Amino acid sequence: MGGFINSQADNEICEVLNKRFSDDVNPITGQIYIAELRQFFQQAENLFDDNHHVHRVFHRLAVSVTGGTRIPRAKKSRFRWLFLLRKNLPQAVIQAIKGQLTAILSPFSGGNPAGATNYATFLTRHVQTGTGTFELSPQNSTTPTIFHDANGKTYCTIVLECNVDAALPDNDETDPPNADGGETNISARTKSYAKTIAKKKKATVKKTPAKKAKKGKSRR
Amino acid sequence: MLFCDRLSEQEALESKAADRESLLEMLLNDFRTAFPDLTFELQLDFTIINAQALKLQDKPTVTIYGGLALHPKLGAESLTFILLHEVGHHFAEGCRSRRDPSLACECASDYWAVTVGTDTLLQKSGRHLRMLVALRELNQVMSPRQPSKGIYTKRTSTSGCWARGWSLRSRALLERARSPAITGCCITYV
Repeated sequence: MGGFINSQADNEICEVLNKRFSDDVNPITGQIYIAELRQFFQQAENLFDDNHHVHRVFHRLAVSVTGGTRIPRAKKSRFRWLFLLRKNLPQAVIQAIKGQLTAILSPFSGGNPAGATNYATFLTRHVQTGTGTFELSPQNSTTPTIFHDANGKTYCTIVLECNVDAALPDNDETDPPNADGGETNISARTKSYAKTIAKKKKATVKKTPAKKAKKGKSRR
Repeated sequence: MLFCDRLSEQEALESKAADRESLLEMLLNDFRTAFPDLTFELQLDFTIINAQALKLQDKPTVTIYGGLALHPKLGAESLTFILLHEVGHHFAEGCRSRRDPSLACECASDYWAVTVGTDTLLQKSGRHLRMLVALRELNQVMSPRQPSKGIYTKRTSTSGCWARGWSLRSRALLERARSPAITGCCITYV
């Protein structure tokens, strides 16, 4: 999404999701972001089953990237966004979001090629929709479309289409959203986790015998 | 685009009365002639003050929304530049957008717009971009929306990325400055 005028909240939402579903390396864990998430989804917790709410899942995905900062950073925008996800999106859109993201995070198979895509991107656009309200492109399908980029990588684009020409409504939301039952830690990049990893790395570097030997050699 | 500013009804009416739609039609015809591989969409029903480059179903698209297309402070020159910038997202080489790696970043798109894009548009359609006029028009709309002292700008202060504030950006456009080539130099929001 290349907008002419930067819209902070839109950019924050799209960027944090794009990062979480990217093939970039997570600097803290050394793993690829989307691979990490697929592993978590397949082995620890199905984020998009009926027990999960998308506004809560969004919050968890966002802080797993930022280390704790809530997105969007501006409270008013955040409340509007959470309210949209929690209450204002039609059920068909919620099901389509869950369906497309489930396909992307589930194992690859002949029936689910999206499970092997390199990354996914997220964007919003304003357009007249067939249902006259929000839609997930194409037409609230639960199957994501796969594309090829210039580098030969495959990717899916999650496009939320908005039919309404009005600001998102305000609402006093619970922030952060209440936990869904059976949550486990998406880990990745909380501040405390980052500190632990950094401490461990420091300790390992200090104690490495090879490094000690090398130091000894250079003295000689 | 959910959080963008919107044009007031009064402002939109003013522009419609000034026969803006025929100007837009001419402008888009020139762009369709110059860049036939792209789809240009005019979404006048939406008052969002913005334009967007998208890849939809692998189809490169440029959308300009009513709030920008009908903005009373913008004329043919600034609209030409806006469209060139969006085209640049699809055609410029170099640094990729953090929000969509299939598109060029903001600075690369700007540089493409004022160099290759401007030349291609002139050669293929005869439309000449007067950048000084475009910048003068855009100043009134961009300065309040992209102040250079934003809370998101500090991190990239040494990167050379100019997308973080309009004053830097307009200077780079005027000077036709090359976009920064450092990996990861782009403005980031998270």
